[in-house]
Amino acid sequence: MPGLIIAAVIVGIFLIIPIGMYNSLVGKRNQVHNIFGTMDAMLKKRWDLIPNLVSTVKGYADHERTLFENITEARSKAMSGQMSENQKVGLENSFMQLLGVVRATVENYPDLKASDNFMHLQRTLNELEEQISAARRAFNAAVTDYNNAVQMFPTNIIAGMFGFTIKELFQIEADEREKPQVGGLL
Amino acid sequence: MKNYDDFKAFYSDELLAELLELDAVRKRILIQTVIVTAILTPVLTLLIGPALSEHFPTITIISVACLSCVGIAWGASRFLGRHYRADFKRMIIKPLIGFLGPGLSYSPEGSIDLYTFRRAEIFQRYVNEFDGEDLISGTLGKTEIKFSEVKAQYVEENEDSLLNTMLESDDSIFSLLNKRKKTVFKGLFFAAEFHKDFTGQVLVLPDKAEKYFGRFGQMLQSRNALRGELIKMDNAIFEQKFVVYGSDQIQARYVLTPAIMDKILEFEKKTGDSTCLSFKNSMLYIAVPCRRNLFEPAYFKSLVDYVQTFRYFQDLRLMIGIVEEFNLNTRIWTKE
Repeated sequence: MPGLIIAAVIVGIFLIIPIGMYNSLVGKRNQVHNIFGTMDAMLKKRWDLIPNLVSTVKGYADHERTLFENITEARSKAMSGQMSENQKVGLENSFMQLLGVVRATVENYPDLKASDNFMHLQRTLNELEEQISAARRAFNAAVTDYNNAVQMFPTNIIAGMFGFTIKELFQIEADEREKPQVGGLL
Repeated sequence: MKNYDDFKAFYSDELLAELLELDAVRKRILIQTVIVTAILTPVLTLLIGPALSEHFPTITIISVACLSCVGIAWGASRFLGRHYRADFKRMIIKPLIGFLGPGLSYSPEGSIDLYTFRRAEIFQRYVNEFDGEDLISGTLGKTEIKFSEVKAQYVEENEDSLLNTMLESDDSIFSLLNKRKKTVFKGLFFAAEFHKDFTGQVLVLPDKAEKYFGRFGQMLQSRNALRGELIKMDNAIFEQKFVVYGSDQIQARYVLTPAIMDKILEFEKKTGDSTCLSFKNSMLYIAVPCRRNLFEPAYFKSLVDYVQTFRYFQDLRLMIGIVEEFNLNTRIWTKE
């Protein structure tokens, strides 16, 4: 009888440990998805601001047509909802460059820079960018945590058995690293 | 923020004359204290001595005399210098605060209220005795701030059964003996509006567990359900020095930007490794532990001492400078 109990305990331990590791991997993967979802929602919010931004800037700088067309095109692509995660990241990076051009353009129009509408838009955009940046950092932290679990022993055994693969980190472009200076526009 | 050269000029133009005047008062108090102590100590020793000499050896009587001398000197200096202390705060500390932050007001007897202290949720221990002084408050630019010296304590009944049975009485002196005080926090407590709107809380605490127990310490921290979710920050030095708990992973990083983390590290270098910060519902709270009683005049040292006055300036500058250091007046986000 005691032998049976010992055997049951050993079997129990051998079952509980892998279950714990599997659940921990699932938890970490869900955390990555969860943060990506929040970040996606923030990116959408920012895209929603674009028509407002375009119409405000247009009122002062109507002849910057190519710029507006590029922005509108980028927005249409983003809103189409037919992009993979990697494509989304690529579009985000090119959009950041476009925003940089908008900011440089605004410098040439003091009236626009001083307008209430633009200032309000700028603040909202800054807020969203700060939140997106925070979400990216949270995403990278969650991915690092998850990837560590996928690659480290002994969780890598369970990860290999159940097809947990490593995820890509968000790469922050060199020009984006200097983003906190957006406030200098106001 | 005023620099050291500005202070030098302010010291010689505004403070020096006042310090000289106060130092004369200090010297007078010191002489009076010596006289009072010299008279009262022998009187007290003569009164108590005979009663003690029946049961205790001479060495005990000498010890009692010495203790009486110290006690009388301390009591006399406090009593005789009660106006001196108030005058010092009015004539030196108040102008110093005006010099560093023209929008600030000073209340020597005021303090951060217990509600603000509790709202920060930095300390988990329940505080039931709270006291403070030297409240500085007002608006700097667009930011409302307040800070003061604070002493937060937890008073508990002594559970020593023998003592309880001996002291079973409603007499206040016995009930005092029956209580034990534990200091939860002593130092400067700072509260200010944060420049970003957010809900929830981000707690930045000194990382003792990880420092001493490494990865195991981090594991323990992640199980601290009372503090919230453990947030691993992406600044290695910051992560080494602090442990961060928050109600939301993204919100925590929205508050703790790389720039703010660098500022916290700089601030920590000046204040010591026990500094705690709490960001809660668009407010910033900072607790800087300090054993010294700040902004008090010297009794046994000359007041006309540049280094001493410079220390008051440094302490005040450190706290008032938080607004500038943390860019709390920046309004590039939606907060007006």
